[in-house]
Amino acid sequence: MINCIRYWRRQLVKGVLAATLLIWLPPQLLTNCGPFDNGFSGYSFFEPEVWVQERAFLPFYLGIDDAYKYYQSVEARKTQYNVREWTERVCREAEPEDVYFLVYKAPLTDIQMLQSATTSRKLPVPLRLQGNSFAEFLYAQRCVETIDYLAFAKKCEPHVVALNPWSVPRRDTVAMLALIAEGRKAFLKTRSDYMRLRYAYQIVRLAHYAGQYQRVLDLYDYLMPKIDPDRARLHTSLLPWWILGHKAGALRALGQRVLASYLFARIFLNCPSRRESAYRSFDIRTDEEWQQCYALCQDDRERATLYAIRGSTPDSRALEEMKQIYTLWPQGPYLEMLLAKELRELERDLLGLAFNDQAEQNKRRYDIPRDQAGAYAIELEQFVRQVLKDGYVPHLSFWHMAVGYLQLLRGDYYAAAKTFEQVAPKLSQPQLSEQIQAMQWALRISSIVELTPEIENEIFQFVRTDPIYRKYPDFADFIADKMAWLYQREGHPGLAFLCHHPWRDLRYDPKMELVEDILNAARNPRSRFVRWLTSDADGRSLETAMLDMKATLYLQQNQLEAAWQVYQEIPRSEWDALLQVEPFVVSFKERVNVPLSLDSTNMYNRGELIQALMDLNFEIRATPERNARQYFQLGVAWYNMTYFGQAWRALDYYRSGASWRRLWQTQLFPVPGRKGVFNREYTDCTRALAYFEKARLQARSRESQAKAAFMAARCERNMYFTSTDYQPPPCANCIPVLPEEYTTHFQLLKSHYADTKFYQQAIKECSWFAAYARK
Amino acid sequence: MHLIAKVTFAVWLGLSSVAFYGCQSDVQPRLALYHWQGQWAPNEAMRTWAEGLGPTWWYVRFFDLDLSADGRDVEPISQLSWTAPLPDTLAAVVFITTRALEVVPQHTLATLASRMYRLLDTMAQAAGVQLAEVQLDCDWTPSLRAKYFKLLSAFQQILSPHIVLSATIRLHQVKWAARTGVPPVDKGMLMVYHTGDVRRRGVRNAILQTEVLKQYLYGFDTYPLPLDVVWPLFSWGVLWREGRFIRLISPLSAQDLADSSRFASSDKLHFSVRRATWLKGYYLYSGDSIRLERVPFDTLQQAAAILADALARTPTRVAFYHFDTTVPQLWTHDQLYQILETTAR
Repeated sequence: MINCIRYWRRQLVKGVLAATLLIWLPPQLLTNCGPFDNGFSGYSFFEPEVWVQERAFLPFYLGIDDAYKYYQSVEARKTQYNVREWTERVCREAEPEDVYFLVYKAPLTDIQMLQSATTSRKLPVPLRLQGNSFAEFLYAQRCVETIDYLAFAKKCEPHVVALNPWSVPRRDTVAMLALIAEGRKAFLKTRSDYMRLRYAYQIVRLAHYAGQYQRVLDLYDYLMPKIDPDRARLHTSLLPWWILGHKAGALRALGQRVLASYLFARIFLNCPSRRESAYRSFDIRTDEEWQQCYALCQDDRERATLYAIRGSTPDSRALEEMKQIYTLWPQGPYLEMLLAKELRELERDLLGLAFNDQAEQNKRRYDIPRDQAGAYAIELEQFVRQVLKDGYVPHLSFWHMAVGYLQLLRGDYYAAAKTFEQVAPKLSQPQLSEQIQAMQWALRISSIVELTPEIENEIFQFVRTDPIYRKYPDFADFIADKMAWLYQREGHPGLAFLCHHPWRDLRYDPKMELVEDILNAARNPRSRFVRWLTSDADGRSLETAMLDMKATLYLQQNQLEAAWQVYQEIPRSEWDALLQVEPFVVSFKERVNVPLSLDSTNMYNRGELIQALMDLNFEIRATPERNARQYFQLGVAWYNMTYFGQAWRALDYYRSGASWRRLWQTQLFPVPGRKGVFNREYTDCTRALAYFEKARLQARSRESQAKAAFMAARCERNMYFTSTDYQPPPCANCIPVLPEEYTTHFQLLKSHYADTKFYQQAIKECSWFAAYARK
Repeated sequence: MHLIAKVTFAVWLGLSSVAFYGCQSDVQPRLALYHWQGQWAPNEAMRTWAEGLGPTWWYVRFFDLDLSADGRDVEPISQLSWTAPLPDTLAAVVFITTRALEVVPQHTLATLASRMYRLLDTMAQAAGVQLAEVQLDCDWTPSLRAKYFKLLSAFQQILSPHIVLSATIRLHQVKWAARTGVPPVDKGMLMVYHTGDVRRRGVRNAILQTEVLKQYLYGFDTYPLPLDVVWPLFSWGVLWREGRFIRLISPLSAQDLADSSRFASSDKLHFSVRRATWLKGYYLYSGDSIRLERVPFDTLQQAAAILADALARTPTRVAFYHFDTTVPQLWTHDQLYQILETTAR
């Protein structure tokens, strides 16, 4: 016994420590959710994709880590750009999927067969390439150089694709060097400048992946001047940038970080398909290196690019970079990109901060909002206004919208409303107009300080009919949180509850304050919103349900008159539908969910039950000395209405068997799947015990006395289960050993009533009592 | 002759016993170093310093196991490369991220162990080294315990008998071993650092504080695994911006922050950024703050003394994490040996 106590106390200590650790540890350590975890709980109505023109910047304002979401599209886009260039340069008639197949999928043997066929003219297009419009075109036009190049590229492919990560990364440098030599020869033989460009790409790439970094630089310097830029139309091709990327990589590997970073910046500026990798490869470490890199820039666009890269890191305070970029290249795409990024960050910081019910969690887990978010929003707005005023940037509507949204975020609702009114008429695209509408609604909801029926009806109308509500899913939470906050402030805790929970959630742990508030609102709904809020899913008023709950709360406190008065307000015809229990049936079998008798006269609805209890109390008062039967009946009713009896629904709406093992710790249990909702079990047997004791003392027959003592013993047993003294037995079916202080009535039965028929029956029918009687 | 033989044997037996029991009480743990960078390329100073240390055991990180780029699979990343010969015999370490462990299906763990070992073996052969030990490093949680232990068990099945399997053990995993479990390995490497939450502003030193260490020293007497110990040699700067933790900058020393035109210091450990500047590849804004953390020698000695009292057995190895360019500048051989001796007390 003592060891049991020690053991379970140790478990308790461990549990408390573990719980403390769980609270103390940052959830990143607990959830381990990797790149997809977005546990921040807030709202967003700003859609950067709608405003920012250059989609290749998506990863930058979403945050590079969120680029996982766009991984496929980035990779696919690289291939897409290449296929597009092949189509534009070589054969406009070819289907892109055919180009893709020939360039990326067709095996070397098929290309070689196409080579032979094209050269001989007697052989047809190889069988597997027949029907491929690109292959057919090359064959028909005798594009020998192109096919030769494709064959060479296929040979290079195994050496330049991403290695199996499970292999030791070794490349066959001998074979790669041989291919470089072959490529050089072919390069010099080729007359087409565009194909030369393609060869240069393959050759430089081979050298880079072979780890021959100096050779990369030498090859670059050797090959690129031999390509006529006009004939190759370098200015419209991806390939010069791809080749430059390899040169930059080689420079970086050789320790020439500054020059490499400069080249990566140029790639970032000019080549969308390599923008992300250029960003990741940019590597400046000191102020001196920054100055050196800056000095390499040839024009303001390049200088602006350095700032754009610097400002694109997820935690940057990009206003500093934006100011620099504005002086250098205001017409460029960077300002929009960084403004979008900053707006998103500030939206997370500030939107709905006052009423977000997860604000505390956001701060604790994610440090959102940032400390100076409000001041930063003001600073950013000042800059945006200046830019707008100067008018040098393209897409002024975006900047204008940004002013309005920043005003909204920092709480200047009047100014924001004015701004949005000015912006809206200037927008011709439906998507942009919808954005403004959404922001105006966010503004409208944010700016509400007090609820009136008119405002409630306005919200109701918006929720029910406006397509903007459906288009922006965050409105549901936004409105619910704001309304709940307002209702709570205005002394309507019940309505606040209903904003976040379905009414049935109140049943887990009803509270008078909430019930009365909802009842009053349901009786006299002041607006369509309140009527909707205080109706169930079928549109029926919650009045009856609340009356029922109110009566139940009174009943729990044994305030029978008050419970009766409330219940009279419910039409009698509805009483049966609300509850049917058998509170007065007593049995050796203890069941909680199955009726003990099949006799319907034992069934009571709640109103009848209240009345019956009142009658019993009246009888007791009327005949003070002969009330054993009434006391016993009351004891049985109050016992059966607890967690342990079959009439538990009289006092509670939800009972969980899983609560049993922890009743000694708490009566309040989280409801699975219902955030912030707790179920209270009604376990108090003291009232029943008092009645049984009175019944025993007043009973004349010893059989009745024994019966009352038996029921009192049951109460004591349950009181042990719900006390901190409780030690769970080692197995589910084991009968726990009761401490002496909880066996008063069992002892009494044994010592005083062992000769009664009831006692004998109890021993036979009740295994618990039989076990105790044996001790 | 018969008598002489008996006497000789008895003398020999007696001397052997004295030698054996005498040596037992004088067994010193071996000093070990961790190498954690992506490339084994020690410079001259590092090589000289390491050679001067004497016989040293090496734990070399061979690769990490993390999510693939598309987040759907797990794969080795940051594979070790080398431009200089590795030690002939070493322990290969694999760091496994918890997010990787979450993604891996239970039924593929044996296959994963097999692939991991094959890669380790291939790399060892390519480097011309002998694997004497494989160590897995993963901060498993109770919810990942079953998976991680299954992976370890699969490793046990695959490894040749002469290769030791070990796992890193955090302090909390000893204290709450009943919840976190004891990994099925031959031995554990107790990591005596990361005692604090680096993201909390009020924390003085998230790497190691002796007061916090004491709170973890329960259960060591009954912990079933033999434990070696690893101490921290590293330092970092904890960067804050607008009240939010941004990142760790490592390695970082007070010398890096000595420029008073860029950094202001309220004490030896707390710095604020005066003007925007680059620091070790990160751009810092004016108003950013840095909390410098490192564990000085005295603190390590103190911690070693505290831990020595708690350990049930003398560790066979006392390691230091991790060997980089700063170690020869900041640490002497004597200091490491003193910590080793205190730990082995």
